[in-house]
Amino acid sequence: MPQLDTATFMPQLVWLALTFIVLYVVLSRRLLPRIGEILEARKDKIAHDLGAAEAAKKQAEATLAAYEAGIAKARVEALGLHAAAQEAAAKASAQRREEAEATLAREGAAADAAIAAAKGRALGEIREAAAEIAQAALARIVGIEVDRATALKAATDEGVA
Amino acid sequence: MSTEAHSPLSQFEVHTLVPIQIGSVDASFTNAAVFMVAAAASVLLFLSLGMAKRAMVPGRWQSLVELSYEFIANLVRDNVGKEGRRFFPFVFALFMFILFCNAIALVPYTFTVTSHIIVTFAFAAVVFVLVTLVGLFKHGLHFFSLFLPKGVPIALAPLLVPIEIISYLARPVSLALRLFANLTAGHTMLKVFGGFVVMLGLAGVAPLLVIVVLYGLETLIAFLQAYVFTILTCIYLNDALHLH
Repeated sequence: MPQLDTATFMPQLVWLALTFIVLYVVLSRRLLPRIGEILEARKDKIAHDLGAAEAAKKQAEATLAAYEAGIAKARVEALGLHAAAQEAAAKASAQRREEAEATLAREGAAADAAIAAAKGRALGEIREAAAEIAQAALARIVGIEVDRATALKAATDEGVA
Repeated sequence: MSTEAHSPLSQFEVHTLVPIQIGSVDASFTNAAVFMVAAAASVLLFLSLGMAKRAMVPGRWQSLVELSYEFIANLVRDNVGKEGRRFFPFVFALFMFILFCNAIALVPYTFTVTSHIIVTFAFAAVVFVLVTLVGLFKHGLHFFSLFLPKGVPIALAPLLVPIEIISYLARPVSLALRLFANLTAGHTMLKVFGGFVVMLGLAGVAPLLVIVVLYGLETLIAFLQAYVFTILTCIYLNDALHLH
């Protein structure tokens, strides 16, 4: 078996030690730290990016909350304005109606008064005419002279209309 | 055509390419050394070219590099815990070196570095010494309580302590033998069936099919043995750091 040839042991050990030590030194001093750095940097970057994403999400949520609060406030304000406007409108219309009603009442009263006056005047005229007619009729038919005041009194008492 | 050249074991022979002698030490550059250098260089190229762009979003190659990094990092973290962080470069180098040695050996006409007991034993010895030193530095003499499992009656100690000591000393042996035996047996089998293909002519299709299956198995073993060596190293480190 060639593996048991002790003459080959020393050169193999020498070159094994040489190659392995060189490999170990280059690996531990240069290559492994470099690989480790990259892996570490990637881990940091991922953690950082996740953190940034988390922050952005929080900010978006805060913005949404602020927006919703704004909307709610605006809605409350709008409702308030609406109610106020409604109230003002109702008040204004009620006032106008009162005014209109007062005007109507006043004009109605004036008209009533005018009608009553006209009616009184008309009645007086009719009475006078009736007394005159009655006086003239009595004088012509019966031949009784009735004075004017009596005739007027009779017309008023009996009621002509 | 000498029988020597076709021996299934001839693939494990070490040939000196450049004789080098430093003092009394034979440091000749051999075919084994070629593949050790190739494995180490492949690991370094694989990692440095894969990470050349250092992209925040990795491409395929960089993903592969990061995958291997995290695979071993998780292995160390899960089996050794936080204190294992210091040993991560060593465990990573160990895993990648053995894996690349095993993987390169799957290419025909290459040399299987990890099929040599001296190589696997050297790794096992390094792990054993490291684990023992770590345990001694961390716990001092209390480290030897490792040899007496908790909750065992004192009466059993004379029986259990020698058993635990033997099992502790057997660790580097089993660690070395497992890797060596798996790789040697696998590559010998491939060679044996390869010989059958040549010998049987047309009927050689049958052993060829066996080779296809064996090759798949060897590919699995190349990864699995590197993984087993690494995870056992982690488990031993954990024992030394936390006792049990």
